Amino acid sequence: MEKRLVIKGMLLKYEGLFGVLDLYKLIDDWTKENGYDKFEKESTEYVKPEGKYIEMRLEPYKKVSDYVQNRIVLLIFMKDVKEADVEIDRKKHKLNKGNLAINFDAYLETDYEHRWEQKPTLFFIRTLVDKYIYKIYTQKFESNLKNDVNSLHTAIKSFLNLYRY
Amino acid sequence: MAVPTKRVPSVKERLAEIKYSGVFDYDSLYKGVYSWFKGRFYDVHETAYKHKTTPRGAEVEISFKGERKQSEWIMYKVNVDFHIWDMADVEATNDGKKQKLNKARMTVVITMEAVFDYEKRFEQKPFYIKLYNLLVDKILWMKLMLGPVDTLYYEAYTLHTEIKKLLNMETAYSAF
Repeated sequence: MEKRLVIKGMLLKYEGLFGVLDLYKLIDDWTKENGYDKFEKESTEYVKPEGKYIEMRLEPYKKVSDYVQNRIVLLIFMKDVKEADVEIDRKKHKLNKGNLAINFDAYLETDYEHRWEQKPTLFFIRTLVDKYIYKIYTQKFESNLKNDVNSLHTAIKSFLNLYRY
Repeated sequence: MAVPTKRVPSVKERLAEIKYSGVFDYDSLYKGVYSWFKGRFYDVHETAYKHKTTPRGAEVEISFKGERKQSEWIMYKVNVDFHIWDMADVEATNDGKKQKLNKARMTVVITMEAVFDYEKRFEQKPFYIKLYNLLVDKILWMKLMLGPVDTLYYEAYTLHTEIKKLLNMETAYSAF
C-alpha cells in the first residue's frame, strides 16, 4: 500500500466554552453524511482535579474506488475540561470549558488491498502506471480529499464560533 | 504437490482502544458488557479473569469472547479485553443517595473477526480450497466486505459506544 500525505499538520486551537459531546457528534455526523467509515483508533479520558483530559485519535476512511482510499487522521486533545452552566436565550445549558486542539492530517492510500504487491512484476507495473498513466486521476482524488478536510475544518470552526457569544 | 491453503480465512480487525482513568461502577460495566453480548445472541465466554492485589489497589484482567453463527458460512466473533489497574472502592453521593463505586485506570481493547467457512467444508479437498480462494478473494470479496463484514464492524461499534456510556465518558455517542 502506498500512502501519500496530502495534508499535514493543519491545526485548530480553541480555548473557552464548547460542548465536548456536541463536538464529537458533529464529527461523527459529518463522517456519516460524507460517506466515510468510522474508525476510532484510540479514545482516552482521564479525570483529574484540575479537569478532564480527553485525547482521541479518529481515522475515518472512505474507499473511493477498489484501488484508492481517503483517510483523514484527527488528533483531538482537550485539556482542563470542566462543566459549565451557561444561560443562552434565558435557557440554561450544560456545556464544557477548557482547551481544545485538533490536528488534521490526510492521506491518499493506493492499493489498500495489497493486490499489486504480491509479486515484484506487479509492483513494478503498478509503480509505472501510478507515475505516468494514473496521475490525472490521483490528482483529482487528492483535490477531493483536500475539499473534504477543508469542509470538516470549516464545520468545526463554525461550531466553535457559535459558543463565542 | 503442496496442499493449497485458504488465502483469506477471516477478516480480523482491532477495532478500538479506550483508556479511562476515574470513577465508574465496576458491577454495571461488567453486567453491561455481558448483557450486550447476550442481547445480540452471542455465545459469550469469559476466557480470562485475573485479580491481583497490589499496595495501590487491585489489578484486574478480564477477557470476553463472543461468537455468533451469522449464517451457515459466516461466523461473527467479538472480543473485549479489560485491563484495570489501581482499582479501589470509593463512596460517592449522587442526588443525595450514597453509591458504592470504584476508582481505577483501565484500558479496553475491542477486536472483531468475521470467519468465513467456519465449518471447514471447503477444506475437505485441495480443489475445494482453490474454489474457495477464487470465490472469496476474487468474486465475492466486495460483496462480503460491504455486507456481512460491514455489519459486524458497526455492530462492534455499538459495543464501543455502550462501554463509553457505562464509563460516563463525554464522547459516548455514535452516528452509525
